[in-house]
Amino acid sequence: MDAITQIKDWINLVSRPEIFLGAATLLFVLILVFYKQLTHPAAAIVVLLASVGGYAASMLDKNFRAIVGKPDNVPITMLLFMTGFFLWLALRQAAVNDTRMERGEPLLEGKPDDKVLVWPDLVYIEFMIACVCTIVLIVWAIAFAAPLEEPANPSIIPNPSKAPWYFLGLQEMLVYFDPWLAGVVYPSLIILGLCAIPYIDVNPKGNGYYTLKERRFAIFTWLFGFLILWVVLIVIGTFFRGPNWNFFGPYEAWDPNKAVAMVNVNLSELFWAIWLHKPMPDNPLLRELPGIVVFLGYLMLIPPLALVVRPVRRLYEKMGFIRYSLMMVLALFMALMVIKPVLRWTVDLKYIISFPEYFFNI
Amino acid sequence: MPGADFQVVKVWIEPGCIVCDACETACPDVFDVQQETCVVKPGAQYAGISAQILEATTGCPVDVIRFETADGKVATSDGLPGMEEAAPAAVEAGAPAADRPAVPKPRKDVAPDEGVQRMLDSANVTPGRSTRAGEAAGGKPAVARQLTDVRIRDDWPADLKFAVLLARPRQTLVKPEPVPRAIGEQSGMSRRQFNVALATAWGAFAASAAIGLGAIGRFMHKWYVPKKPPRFRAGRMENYPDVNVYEEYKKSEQVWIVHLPDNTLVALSTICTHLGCTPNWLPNDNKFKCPCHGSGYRMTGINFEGPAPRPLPRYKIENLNDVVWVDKSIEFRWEKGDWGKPGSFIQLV
Repeated sequence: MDAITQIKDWINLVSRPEIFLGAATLLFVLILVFYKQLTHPAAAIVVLLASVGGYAASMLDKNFRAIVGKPDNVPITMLLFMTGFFLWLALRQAAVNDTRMERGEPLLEGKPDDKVLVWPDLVYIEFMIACVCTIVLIVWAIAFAAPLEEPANPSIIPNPSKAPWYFLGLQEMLVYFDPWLAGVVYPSLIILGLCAIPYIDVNPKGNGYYTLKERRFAIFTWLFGFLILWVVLIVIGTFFRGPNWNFFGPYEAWDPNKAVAMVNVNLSELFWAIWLHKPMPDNPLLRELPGIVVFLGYLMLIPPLALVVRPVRRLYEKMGFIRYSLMMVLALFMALMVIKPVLRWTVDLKYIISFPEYFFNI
Repeated sequence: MPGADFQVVKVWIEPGCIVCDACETACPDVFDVQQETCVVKPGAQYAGISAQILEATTGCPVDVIRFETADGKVATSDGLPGMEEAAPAAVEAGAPAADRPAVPKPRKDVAPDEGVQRMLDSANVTPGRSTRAGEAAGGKPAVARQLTDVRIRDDWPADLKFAVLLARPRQTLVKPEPVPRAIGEQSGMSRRQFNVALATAWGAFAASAAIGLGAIGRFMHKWYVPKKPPRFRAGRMENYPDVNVYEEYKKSEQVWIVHLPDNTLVALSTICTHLGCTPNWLPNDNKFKCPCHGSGYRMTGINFEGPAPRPLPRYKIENLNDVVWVDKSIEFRWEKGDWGKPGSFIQLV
């Protein structure tokens, strides 16, 4: 076994979802902590060259090329690089501004020559961008064939069956949550939560200028939701999900007969049968009592208990009861989007509360 | 105002009125402000209201009101000749009338506006009160127009703002008189033509609506699948000799006929209980696996992996003279304890 194969096998190994998601989260936290060093142009160039080089080298691999080169998946590659670029652009300006603030110098945005007129400057730029976008879309439509398949047939289903790429994050969530939760409650919560941001977060700092130091919590929460819970989930759904919706590493062949042991159990089965060695209670409510206690405790005990931590307490005093409660409930639901998949991957937990009799599962 | 010591015998208005309402406010018995100009009411009685007439005269911003007294004096906005002060009410407290120049100098803290200054010069409008410096009757209408154009600035003294406001012509809305007319009378259209046009328009609308609705109906009809009877004949018993999953009726009826290891024959639904995809039977792994979200079911239909919340339902299955009949209208669900019930399986020997 040569060195390249060994590296590929190792990358396939760390592409297991719990490791990949954990590494992505760790990387995300490190970026926010060391943003001043990492956004230095020299460091950014190194990261860009490394990722482009890694991508180009990976294209030599047959399996990687097959996945990444699919016309459906080309936008994901663009998404990855553009997300990286814009993250760097914003964090770089925040880093410069924060450094200037420490030295007592004026901010980047304070320069008078920074302002331009809407007409003609902005409108002209927008017009040119619109032209370029139109040209790119036309060329794209000609160059890549639309992935149309044969007429729908309920007995022949593509394996794997994937949603459009922008919905793959939601499809990934559907693996871990009941359809009504992942398909109805969570999308509504995301939209309503985004609408609620201006009412929950009334801190005027950061308006009109880039900063990270003054808005650590807000920027962390927002970027976590966007980068980890949206972009990373899309990447997992696009590149790592293969036939039978099994996980595959980026250099792994999509074998439809790959055998994966993923037996999973509900919390009630875990509690009564495995821990207590008792038969499952016949009353569904009693059977699911542990899960109900755990879920309600998660939602109702964590917000008051978190007040023990001093920064949270300061936040509570600043926000007041209603804003704090709203923020905590939204944040806890957001955290559930990570906790539930991790529980599925690590302890094979299917549902915390499961009423198959009433189509109600959490 | 104390009683006047003069008797007004004649009141008239010179050209140049800007319709500002000041005179009518001061003396409504005599002055009547109309749309174009102000007029002296015909037959108005001047007795006993001389003081009001004097107030209106001196208060006129463009100085067009005149009156004559019984002793032959003609009053202008400066008051009657020989009077010390004509209109005490209009005098600024800090600006004695005797010292007041005809055209005031701009205040020091106010930046002089060249346009305003020019306008004031030509109009003889002083802050708070009109004065007459000379005969400039020809410029009066132009003054009114200029005053409309002047924007009142916040840093002006209050009396200047008031003067400009007061001197503005009244905004009047001229409504055109509605002309009543019958249909077809002035439009050059006869009753017959009108009816034809009406029928054509409605006919075109109805025809396009009918075409659209028809297209929708055709579309719906195209996709409408005639309902098959839920009970179907699933071949003879000897078609299912071995323990296996038989997929012959997967496409046509969405049913797997499964010969289970405990020597029973059951009819399993092929619709995933998670979101309704059709799982695949993987003989090597001995399981059903859904390609959409990875739900896995054992050969019996019990869910054991992925997000599927409950097992695949079974349908009623019976053996009539060695022929297998499946009735999809009757479901047997594991979570309800239905799988032991008669009709949910065929016991093989």
